[in-house]
Amino acid sequence: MTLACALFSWAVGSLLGQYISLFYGDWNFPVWLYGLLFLLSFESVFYSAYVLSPRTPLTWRFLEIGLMWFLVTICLRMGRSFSYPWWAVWRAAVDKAFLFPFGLAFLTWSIAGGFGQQLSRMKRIADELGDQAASTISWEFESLALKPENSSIPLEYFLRRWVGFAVLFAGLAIAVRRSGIQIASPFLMAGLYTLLLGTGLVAQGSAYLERLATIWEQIGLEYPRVLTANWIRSLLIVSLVLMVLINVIPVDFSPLTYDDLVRFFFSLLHRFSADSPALPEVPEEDLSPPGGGGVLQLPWQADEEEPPMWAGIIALLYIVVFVGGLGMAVAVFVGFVIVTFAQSELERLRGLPKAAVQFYLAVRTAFQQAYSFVFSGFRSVKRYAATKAWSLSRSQGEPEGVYTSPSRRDDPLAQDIRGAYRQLVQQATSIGLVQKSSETPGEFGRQLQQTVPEHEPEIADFIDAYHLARYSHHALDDRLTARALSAAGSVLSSLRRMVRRKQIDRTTD
Amino acid sequence: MTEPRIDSIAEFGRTLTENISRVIVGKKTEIRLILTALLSEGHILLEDVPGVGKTMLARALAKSIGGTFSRIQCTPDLLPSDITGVSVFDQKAGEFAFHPGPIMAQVVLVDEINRATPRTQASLLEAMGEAQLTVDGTSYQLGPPFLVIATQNPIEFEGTFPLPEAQVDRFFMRISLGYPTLDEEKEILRRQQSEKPLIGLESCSCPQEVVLLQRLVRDVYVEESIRDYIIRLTHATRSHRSVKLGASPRGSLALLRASQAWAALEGRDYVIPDDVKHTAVSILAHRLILSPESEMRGLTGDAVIKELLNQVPVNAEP
Repeated sequence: MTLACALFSWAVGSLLGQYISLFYGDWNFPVWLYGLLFLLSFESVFYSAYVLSPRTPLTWRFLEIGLMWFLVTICLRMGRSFSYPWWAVWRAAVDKAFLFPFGLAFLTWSIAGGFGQQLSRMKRIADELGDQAASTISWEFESLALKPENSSIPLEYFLRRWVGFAVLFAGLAIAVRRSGIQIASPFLMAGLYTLLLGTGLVAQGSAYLERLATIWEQIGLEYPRVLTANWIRSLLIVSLVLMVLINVIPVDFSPLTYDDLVRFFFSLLHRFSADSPALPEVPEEDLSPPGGGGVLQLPWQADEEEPPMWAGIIALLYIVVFVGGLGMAVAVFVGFVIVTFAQSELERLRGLPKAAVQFYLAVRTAFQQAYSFVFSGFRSVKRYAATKAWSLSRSQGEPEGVYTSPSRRDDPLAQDIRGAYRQLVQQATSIGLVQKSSETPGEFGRQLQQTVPEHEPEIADFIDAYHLARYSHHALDDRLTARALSAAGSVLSSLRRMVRRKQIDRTTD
Repeated sequence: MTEPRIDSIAEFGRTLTENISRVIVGKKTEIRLILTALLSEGHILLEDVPGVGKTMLARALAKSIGGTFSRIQCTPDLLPSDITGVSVFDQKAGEFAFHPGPIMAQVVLVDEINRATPRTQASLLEAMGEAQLTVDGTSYQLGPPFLVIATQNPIEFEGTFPLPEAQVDRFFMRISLGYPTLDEEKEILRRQQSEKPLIGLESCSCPQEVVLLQRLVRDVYVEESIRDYIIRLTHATRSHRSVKLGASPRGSLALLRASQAWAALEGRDYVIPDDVKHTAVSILAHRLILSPESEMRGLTGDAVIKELLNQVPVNAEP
């Protein structure tokens, strides 16, 4: 969803820039701006979704805008000279060469930020939703979504953005056509518009699915994966229809324009009547903008030579690698130092130190996720091999249902259950339920039942399965293991929700 | 009789508990512990104040499992031969004929065992340890099953002889019944108002079944870490600061057997750490000899074992 939202914001910014350059002949959309908008939309959506909180200091947001200013200035000045120095902000504020890219960057950043905040809100709603009767879950979801006064639920937000921007750009396309401006790269415009529609649809649909999955999870049902498959299939059909529509709508970026249609019908009619009038030719100069040729000629292009595309790309890479990388490294280092030495005082941090800590924790989590992603594949292969070897050894003479202790250690199903138990203990520790070394799994299970009474039967089932896996000599069957793991999964998700709720409470306190 | 399965032990436990509960109100855990001792081929020492139903419980158990039952009422003038039996010269046959004593039964209730002299108490040693009796050079097999249920009153000191350590160690389990709750006592009064419930009690099993189930209990699977846990527990009793003499290896073995039986009564054919914890106090507490200072402070074996159960690691998940 975050990716779709980022791409949507990028498409909006880029398309808007294209139309500005079409309507306002004095300014041309520079190539490096694509990259910059792309970078900013990604940064904004991810930051708003995963890091930003109501208590994030305003200085941090101002710093982001400052960085944006800095990036636009650097990119703009690469290979070009200006009549005023880079620090002359008051001069830049009235210079359209600076104002348009900066305005677009700010707009893209804001749109992406809005999406990110909605994603974060959806997560918070899912966290806050709990201990509700199954019949009221859906109603509760909507009421929680509407909690901040005068705001719409995320689903409507996504839909409104999607429809709003689609209509805006369709209107702009028609306006371009009507005003007779010729587009230099219609395929790029069509591509951007398609991307806008597609990603908007993906974001809206995913938000809907996320809401469904949350509600299903709350009422204790397993979310059917077939729903996602059905939705993807429907999305593909709708996208195809949209693609066809985009290419059929007689607007200027479509290969089938109004002129083409008229020409086609006119020639069709002409076949049947020999003396029908000839197809009227549209004079070239009528379609051209005043004072220009077929393609818009921007005034500054006549005087100055436009910097080559590679220069813009290199500049962008330079900024990303050196400025961004250096900033990131400094933030991570500062965050690491604070986390290492401040320990429990972290919650008292405010402003930039807090931002550095958040950044460090985000980077650490990202590395941990990447690590577990790489090694989960390795473990899956290993587990598959172990399962094969184990089932082979069983089929080669070991008695059915009973096996000796050493092969119990190799039993992958037992290992799965024991792994789930370890996870439960670990997760329970994070909510303050620490298992003492002298406590038996049964005692731990009873304590857990008191902590999450809504999962009492699941915990009992899982502990029984764990006893079987850890202390018995019986072979575990797939169904029992699956049931135990599913029970553990639901308990784990409840515990995780409790942890998150605790964190939210701590943040809001 | 067909070979029973592990489920039949749980069924046996349920049936017997239900039957005994017709006489004894409440005390489900104590009844479960007594069944554990029965299935582990161990002997039971019921220790409590007078009038809480020790004798009645022992008689109810004996009646429930059927088989032969005898009762020995211990007094200071009781002689060993009064327990083991005596050879009397038969003038007609011209030879000594052995008249078996009350110990020659499958369930023997030794009431107020600490009133018998140590010499008489010692006559029970061989019977309890090896389930056989030697009189005048001839050995007699006892049981199977052979179960001694002894009762003693821990309060009285006058005219009593405390059981020697060797004798106490031979008791598989020591159980205290404790006073009944208010509701339980009311129920006792209601039931016994018109008749003695023990009179109408029928047996719901047979000694052969008990023997088969005892054999089956030995097959209950014990995982390596459970054995380690049992050993850690008994070793911890030996190094405890308040204990002069800790539990013997016989104690470890008894705890293992009791855990197996408890697991079987729960319907499992494998032992879990909870089984050990459930039986540990009854199995180990009476085997400890506390230091005089600890005894002066009022510390009991039960408290020491409970403390150790909260300290010794289970090693559920390494």
